[in-house]
Amino acid sequence: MFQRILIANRGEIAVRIIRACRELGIASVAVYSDADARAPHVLLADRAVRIGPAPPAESYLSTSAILKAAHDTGADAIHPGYGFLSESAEFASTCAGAGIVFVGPPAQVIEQLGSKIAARLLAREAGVPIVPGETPADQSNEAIAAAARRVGFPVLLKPSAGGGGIGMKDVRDDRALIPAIEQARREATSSFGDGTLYVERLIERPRHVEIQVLADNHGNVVHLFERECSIQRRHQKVVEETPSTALTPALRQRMGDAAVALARAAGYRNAGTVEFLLEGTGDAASFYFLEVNTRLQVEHPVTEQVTGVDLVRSQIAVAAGDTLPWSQGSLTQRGHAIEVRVYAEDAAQTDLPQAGPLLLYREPSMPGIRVDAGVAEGGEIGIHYDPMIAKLIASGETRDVARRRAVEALRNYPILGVRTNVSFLIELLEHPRFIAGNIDIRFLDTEGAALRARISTTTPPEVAEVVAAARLRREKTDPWDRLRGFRG
Amino acid sequence: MVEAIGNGRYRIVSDDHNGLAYAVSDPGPSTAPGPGRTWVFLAGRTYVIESQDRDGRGRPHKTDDHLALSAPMPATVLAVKVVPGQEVRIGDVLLMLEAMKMELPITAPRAGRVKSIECREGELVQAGVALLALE
Repeated sequence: MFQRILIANRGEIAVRIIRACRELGIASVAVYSDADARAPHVLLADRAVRIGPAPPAESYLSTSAILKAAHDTGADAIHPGYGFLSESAEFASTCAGAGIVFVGPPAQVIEQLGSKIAARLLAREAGVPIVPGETPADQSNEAIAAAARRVGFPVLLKPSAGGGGIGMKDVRDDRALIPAIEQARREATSSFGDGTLYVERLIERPRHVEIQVLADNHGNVVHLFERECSIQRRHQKVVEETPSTALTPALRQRMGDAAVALARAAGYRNAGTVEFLLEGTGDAASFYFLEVNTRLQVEHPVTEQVTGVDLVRSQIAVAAGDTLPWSQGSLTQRGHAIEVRVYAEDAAQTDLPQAGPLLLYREPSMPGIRVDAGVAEGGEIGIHYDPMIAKLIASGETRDVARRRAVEALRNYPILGVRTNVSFLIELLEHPRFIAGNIDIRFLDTEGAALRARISTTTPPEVAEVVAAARLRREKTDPWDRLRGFRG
Repeated sequence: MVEAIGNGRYRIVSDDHNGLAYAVSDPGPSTAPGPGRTWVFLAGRTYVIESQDRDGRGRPHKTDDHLALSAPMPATVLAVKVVPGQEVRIGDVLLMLEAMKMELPITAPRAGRVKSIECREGELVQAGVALLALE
């Protein structure tokens, strides 16, 4: 086992990893930028090393600063957390070259799976379904139309050279095909100077369902079931849960087998996540490979709550060369877990991120509630990093028990000094479609405005009374205010 | 009835609503007069109550221009897209800010000529501070 692990991250995930090190009897080294000098992860670690100024490029993304910190402290492994350098093949290979174990897959695996084209090819070779699509070699109207029929309606016509949704046309039947091809080609030519079209099956209102995998260095690969992450906006997940309401045991097994097959084909090591788009629900549903995240996911706690497996501890054990202690058959899902991400944002307005001081911050503590946070009262949500304040994870015997626990916990989670999405999350968890499990990746696009309207309510009279009482108390020089004054 | 029970907590006892509220005054920037804002958390909702006497003390009235041409949150100036004297049309991007990994454009609220630029690229700016002025 390792003697000392450096955690190349900040915030809640650094705190999470330091705690796992403690449990394993491994010394922990935190790194920090000037903005984080007194952050909880710095205070919690056995040692802490300053690696640079606040901008990530000069600190948390600086390979040289992090490796120097590892050498100076004698760390024999580096855990990258998520984000920052966690999916950098170059960083993983630099660590290996420096004789430091990177807690994650080998550099060449990160590189291969990080390339969308290479990952898709690999998935196809491993027999994992991918969204049907092709770039017809013959770009005549008739050849593209024939490709569209092969792929199956509804289809999406995309500029081969394009991106960002520009020039994409969805076609629902044969009659609309030829005019759509001509229009798509014109738009592709004018936007990208290249009229080549790619034809892809359009997956309507899919769910985002991902499978957690874990592989050791001895050829053992298991999956730890699914996480449903359909509640997202701008590709940022907001609510995640497991089990998914869309999966049946047979579908779960098919998806799990596909994820394991892909991990084996890639020579995967450590923890990873295979993301799928799911079309439909139950045994008749189809799933399509999206991408592999070659790291620990933000939403890993829901899997931990339901499987009883400590994923961070497992990552460290596998990186140290241990054999996975379980077979697929010994892993089970018990109960349900829901994670909500608490963000510093003005949810009533535009969900723009907010920065500010945490004047008052009290985490709820009640049955079935876990809060993973990297902040504390008196701290600050700064402008340089992700605006996520914390993750609140509720678990229970059933989905509804977990859901109600999450709502109750959020109602007892005061965060003052910066605007948050707490009330938005409560409304979301109480939405009839969420309660019914009837969700897809467009949920927040279609329901977001209604949810925002629900939280912009009038101020109840009790609030004015509380304000009056608070001001009276302040005038009497509340010692808490005096203390706060010392923050400068 | 509201009773302060310490540590930012307030007990509410009324005919139809018993519960616990949390409140804290925002000291705000040290240069600003008055007690500033009070934040209240009650039953899963946060309320931000602006102090009335603060406005009463003659805080400078903010024009629409000021609101439109200031940073909505602390941010880094990524790029200054205009120069003093330049004519701009409504909606033109004047500045790009970056905060929390997001780019935020500052656009012209009206047509006009750029009078002055009050920030430079790479500068860290605070919320509410005017970044440029239009004639």
